[in-house]
Formats: sequence, structure tokens, C-alpha cells
Amino acid sequence: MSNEIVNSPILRVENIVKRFGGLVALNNVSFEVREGEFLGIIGPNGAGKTTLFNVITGFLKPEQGRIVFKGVDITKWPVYKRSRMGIARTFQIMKPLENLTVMDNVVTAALPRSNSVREAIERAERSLDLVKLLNKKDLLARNLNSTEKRRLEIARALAGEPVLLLLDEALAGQSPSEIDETLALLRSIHKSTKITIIMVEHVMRAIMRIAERIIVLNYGKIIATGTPEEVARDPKVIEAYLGSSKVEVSM
Amino acid sequence: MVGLRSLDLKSLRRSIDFYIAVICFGFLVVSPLIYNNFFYINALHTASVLMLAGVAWVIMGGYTGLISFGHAAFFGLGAYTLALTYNWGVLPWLGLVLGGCVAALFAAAVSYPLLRLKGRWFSLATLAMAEALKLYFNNWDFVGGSRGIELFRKEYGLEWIYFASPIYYNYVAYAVLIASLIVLNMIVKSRFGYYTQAIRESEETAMAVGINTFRYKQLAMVVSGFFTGIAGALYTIRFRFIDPFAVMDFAQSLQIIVISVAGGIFTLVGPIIGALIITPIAEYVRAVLGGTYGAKFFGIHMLIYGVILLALVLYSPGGLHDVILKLKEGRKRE
Amino acid sequence: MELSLIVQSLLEGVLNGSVYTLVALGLGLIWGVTELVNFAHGDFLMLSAFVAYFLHYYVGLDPIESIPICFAINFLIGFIVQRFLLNRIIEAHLLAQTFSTFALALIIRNSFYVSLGPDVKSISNPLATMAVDVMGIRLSTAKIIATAIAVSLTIALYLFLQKTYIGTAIRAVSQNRVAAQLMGVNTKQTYCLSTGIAVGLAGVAGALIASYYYIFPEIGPSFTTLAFVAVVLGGIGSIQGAAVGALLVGLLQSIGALLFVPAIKDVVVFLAFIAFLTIRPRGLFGD
Repeated sequence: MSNEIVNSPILRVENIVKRFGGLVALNNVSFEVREGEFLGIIGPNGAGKTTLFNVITGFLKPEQGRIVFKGVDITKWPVYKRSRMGIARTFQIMKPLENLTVMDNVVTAALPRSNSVREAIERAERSLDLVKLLNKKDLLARNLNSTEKRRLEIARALAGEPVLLLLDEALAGQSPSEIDETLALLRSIHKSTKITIIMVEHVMRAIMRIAERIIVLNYGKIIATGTPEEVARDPKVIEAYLGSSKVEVSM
Repeated sequence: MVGLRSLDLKSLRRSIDFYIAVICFGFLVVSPLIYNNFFYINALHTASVLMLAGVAWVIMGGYTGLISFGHAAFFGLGAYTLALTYNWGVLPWLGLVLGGCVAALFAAAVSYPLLRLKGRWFSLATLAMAEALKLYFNNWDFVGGSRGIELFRKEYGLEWIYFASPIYYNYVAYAVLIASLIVLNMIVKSRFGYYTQAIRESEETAMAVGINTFRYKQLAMVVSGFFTGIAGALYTIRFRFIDPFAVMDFAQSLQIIVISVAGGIFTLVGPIIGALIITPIAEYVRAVLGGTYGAKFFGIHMLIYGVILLALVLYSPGGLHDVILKLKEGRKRE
Repeated sequence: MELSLIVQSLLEGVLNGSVYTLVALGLGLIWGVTELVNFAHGDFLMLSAFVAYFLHYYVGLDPIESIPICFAINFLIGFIVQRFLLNRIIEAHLLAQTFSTFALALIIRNSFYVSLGPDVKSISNPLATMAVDVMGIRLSTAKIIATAIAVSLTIALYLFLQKTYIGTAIRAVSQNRVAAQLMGVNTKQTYCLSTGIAVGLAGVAGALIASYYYIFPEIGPSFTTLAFVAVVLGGIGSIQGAAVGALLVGLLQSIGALLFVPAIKDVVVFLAFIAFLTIRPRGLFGD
């Protein structure tokens, strides 16, 4: 087995430009993600993080650039096709399938990558067990509180056993102990499978602890990349966050 | 506050649905034998035809969230296909299926432009589509234009589904209805059911999870069209004369909608309940008022439908099915 | 076929289209502001046509003279319907929203049907039979007047939306409900006002149509459908689009009648609509 195959990136984002009318949301963004990496993406509000996710998953089409996943150019692919290939995401503004049960939510997510409903149900149960929602499986999704809904989002994303998991502010609104729980969950999943995780986060303390590498976005451009320590010391990063009260740059 | 109110307990709901279906069918099958009244038997036949069309409608409307106001188009296409093929010498059993197929093909074709529209705009478009089709058929000589088509006389019997006594038509309709329900139930329990409901709840989430939303919406339309076409064909076999205003008019779409909404659009059993309760009453009202008011009775009919719809939509969007579930839930809690 | 006949037909299409504009604008306005699709829009037109009819026969008013009254009555009705019915379902499930105006349409239409019967009525209007003759092209005077009024009202609406405070409030709400609220706009009242105006416009169209067309309870749905096609052709969300779309619909009707049989002219319109949807679902000016 050649080293190239082992080390070739699972995701390549190449020269992505995304415009909304006159506004350039993503300005020539390029980076690679290795298989099995845990990558964090941070940046001030409006930096383009969610837009980047939307381009990677196909909800938005870029004006220029390519997205290459597992060696395949998926830039023109529709959302569902990318998902079937193994990209799963959670949403910042959650949209669970409100009037379906928790179980049905996750079974639906498992089905596209399963051969039968039975198989999907098994996968769903495993997924719900991971996020500790199995005891609530027959409740309607809309009757969950917001933390439980976040866990449901994650369970749904994991149900199809994805290869690449994109988490968009999955820790939003959680208490410190809940955050610790979620981080522990993510760590254990990351260790036990070869899943690649890209996480957009605002909760600095959390993302700095768990990510192996960090990319910093500001005004649609990557201004820094490196380990959490390197990035925390980077003067450009500090400057980008100056004035933002949310930042805790000390670790 | 208007909104959906459903139970938390799915298993309870499933078993209740089955019992409801059994009771309704029992009633359909047994009551004509006991109450051998021509008018009543007729009403039950109409009810069973509407049940089939309603269940088909619910696949699109309740499950996928595609509310169609133009189902008369599918109904009429099935009716006309059966009428034409019957008179060309094709057995009606095959004609039924052909009717479904023609309606399904039409649904597939029309899904490409129509699905470009979202939500209520889609619904308006289905309305326009049905009216346009009716208008066209009304001016098309091949299908008899406004004169319509009458089925040729054949030998009495099951082969040509032509009977001296009307009650046999009922049992033919029931048989087709049950067969269709079994198939539809299987479809709804498969991944189709999961996908379409996901699309209804949040199309974005459905896409993100790997569902080809266009393809499944189209599939829902095709399945819905197919069984509605069969319902139209069933109607034709019984009444042996059709014209665009009898099978392709907005009135047919409306009937299908009212019984579905009344019974409960989020379940296959809803239209069954709805049709069983509303149709005999509606037919009776028509007969009584028809005698007294003449041409105006038709308006009262529709006026009442409008009021029922409005009340249902404001106070119980889940229809009678929801009411039944609530009663059961209440009793269980005690 | 003579050229003059073709030109006459096309011009008539444009005249028809300008009256449709009022209906399409109303439908588009309600959608833009409240995000409701008003299935009953054509039936409000029908209502107003009957009002014009009764005003003609019991008070002796010319349909053109009835316009202010028709507008006022329809405005009030639209306002009240929005205030007591539609405001309740703005945040409701898609099902409730779709069926509410639909059920309303049924109720309005059939109330008229039941109380007045299905007979077709018409106003014997001297204007309806008069025609203007220009180089061999005959155009009905009533239609020309109707067009003139429709065009003026369209311009008036445009100015109203652009220049007045209420008009700006309406535009604000249609663009961003939350932002408008934050700026102090009473959204619920704005809904009532804009629906009132929209239905009022349909009312004007009803009075105009009463001056040269037939009046019976079933005329509603075809106008709703034509207005709908106009809005989609022009682009959902665009006021100019609705106006242009309506003219296009009028033209398509004429073309359909010329090429085929007048009875299926609406089929032609619908087919063109389908083709348009397939090729350019956004419409001419849509987002």
C-alpha cells in the first residue's frame, strides 16, 4: 500500500469563492483535511464558517473553485448525493423532523446508507444509544428540550455511519457539564472509528481542547492555521477577535 | 393555537389504525346485506371509491406535504382510460390497471414543471392543471368531447363487471380497495414512508440526510396518481357513462379532499373513516335538498363542505382520526 | 386570416391583460406581505362584480361610477377577513394555511350560488356595445376605459408603495417581517391594510369586468387561476412581474383563441405556463 493513498486528504477545498451579490463571503479559501483528522474552524461572527459548510455540503454552489471528496470532484453534485457518499452535517439552526418520533428521525437518516429498514433501525438504535437518547425514542422530536434536540442532531448525523462529519456549532446553548459530555462523546467516536470531524465552534475553550488542528477564518479568508497553541498565539488571530467579548484566548 | 396534536405512543396508534380499518370494512361489507336499500348501497359504493381516491390523495398530501387540489385530473384519466379500453374490447380488470397507469404517467410528466413550485403555489398549480385538462377533454373529439363516453353493453358477469343487481359492484369495489390498501400499506411502511414524511417535515434536513427529495416527491405523485386513476376507473364501471364534468371537475377533487381532511390526512385510515361518515350524509343531503331546491342544492353541498373544511382546519387539522386517538389516549390514562 | 383581425385580437388581449393586472397585483401583494396564497381572490372579484350589478339595477349607477364603492366594500371585507381569520393562521401549519383561504373561497362562492342561483347576469351597458374603430380595428369602448382605469390604478399603487409611509411599511414587512417590527411597524395592522388594498383592487377589477362581461357566481376560480399564472410568469415576489405577467396572460389568451378554438384558450395559457415553469421557474422578474 503506497504512502500516497494512506496520506491523501479525504477532503480538499480548492480556491473556493462564494459571492452574495456584491458581498464576497468566501475569498479564495483552500485547505485539505486528512482522513481521521479532528479539525476545528473558528472565526468571528460573519467570517463565513457556515457558508463554508454550505458549500462543502452542497447547499450553496460556489462561483469559483472545487470541492474534492475522497478523490472525487463533487462541486456540482446535489446535496443528497454528497450525503450518500458519506458526508454528514448538523445545522446551526436545528431542523429536526418535528412531528416524527426521535427514533423515526434517526432511522430516516440511517436509511439512505442502509439496505433495509431493519438495518436502519439497528443503526438508529446504536446511534441513539451513543448520545443517550435511547430511552426517549418514542417521543415526538418536537417535545424534546433544546439540549436533547442537539443530541438528536448528532445522532442523526452519525446514523448513516458517515466518513466525514461536519458539526456546525453543536455546542451552542449547552451548559459546561453538557459540553463536557458532548466532547467526551465526540472524542470516543473519533477514537473508535476512523471518522473525520470538522467542527465549527464559538465556544473557544471546548474547540481548543478537542481539535488537533485549527483553521481561522475572517472575512471569508483563512488567516491562520495550525495547532490550537500556535493559533492562540498568532497575532493576526488575536487582532481578528479584538473587541469580541466572547473570546478567551488563554487556555 | 392551530397546530398538529398527535400522540406520543406510536404503537398504540398502529394497533388502533388496524382495528378502525377492520371495523370500517366490516361495516362496508355487512351492512348492504342487512339494509338492502338501493340508495344506501349506491352511497356505500361511492364511499368506497372515494376511500381509494382519498387514501391515494393522502400519500401526496398528508405524507409528503404536497397538497393537491387537482386530483380530479388523475381520477378522470383513469375513468376515461377504462371507458375507452372497455369499448375497444379490453377486459375491465386490465382496464383498471391501465387507468392507473395512464394517470401515473400523467403525474410523472406533470411533476417536472409542477414540483418547481413550493407549498401553496404548487397547490394552486394543481388546481389550474385539472381545470386545463378538463377543458381540453371537453373539446377533444377522440374522447367524445362534452358528449362523454358510454360503456357498451356486454354479457352480465364478473368478466365484464356488468351486473343486473347493483350490490355486486360494491363487492368488486371493496375487493379492489382492500388489495390497494394492502399495497399502499406496504409502500408506506417501507423507506418511501420515512422519506416522504421527512420531506414534509423539513426538505432541507431530508436532503442533508441523503434523500433525493425531487425523486421521492415525484414518486409520491406517481403512486398517488396511479391509485386515484383506479378509483376513477371503478367509478366508470359502475355508472357506465362519463363526461368531463362527471369525472374531471373540481367537484371530484373537492370530495376527495373533504373526506380526507375530515377523516385525518396523516394516516391511511383517515380517508376511510371520512368517506364512510361523510358520503352517506352528503348523498342524503343531496337527495333531500335536490328535491326541494332544484339546481341550487349543489351550492349548499359545497357551501357545507367549505364550512366543514374551515372548522376542521382551525380546530382539528388531524381530522376525526385525531379525535379518536385522543379519546383512546384519554381512556388509557385513566 | 386578415392582419387586422390578428392585430385586433392581440390588442384585445392586452386590454384584457391590463384588467387582469389588478387581480394579479392583489394576489402578489397578499403573498408578498403575508405569505398566504389567497385561493379566494377571484371570488372577491365576483363579489364585487355582483355589487356593481346590484348598484346598477337598484341605484342606477354605471359600473365605472361604482368603482369607489366596490373598492371600499372589498377593502373592508379584505381587512376584516385578514383581521379575524387570516391573522390567526399566519403562523400555523401549511395545511391550515392552504385550506383556510380555499375553504373561504368555497363559502363565498357557494353562498352566492345558493342565494342568487346560477343564472348568468349582465349589465346592459351602452358602453359595452360601443366600439372604437381605428383603421379597421374595432375595440370595445368599455374595455378601453377599463384599461385606462387599470393602468392608472397600477401606477397609483406603485406610487403609493414607494412614496407613502404606509406603502413603505408594507414593503418593509414584505421584505423582512422581523426587521420591520423592530422599526416599530405594527405588522398585524399592515397585513390587514395590504390585504384590504389587494382585495380592493380585485374589487375594482370586478366592477370593470361587470361593465363588459358576464356575471355569475362561478367566475371566481378562472380569475384566481389567471392571476396565479400571471404572478408565477412574472416572478413570485415581484410587483412589476405581476403586471407584466398579467399582460402576458391576456396576450396568450388571444393567441390561443387565434391559433385554436376560443374554448380552449385557457388550456393554451396553462401549457405556456407549464413550459415557462420548466424552462425558467423563477419567472421574468422573480428572485
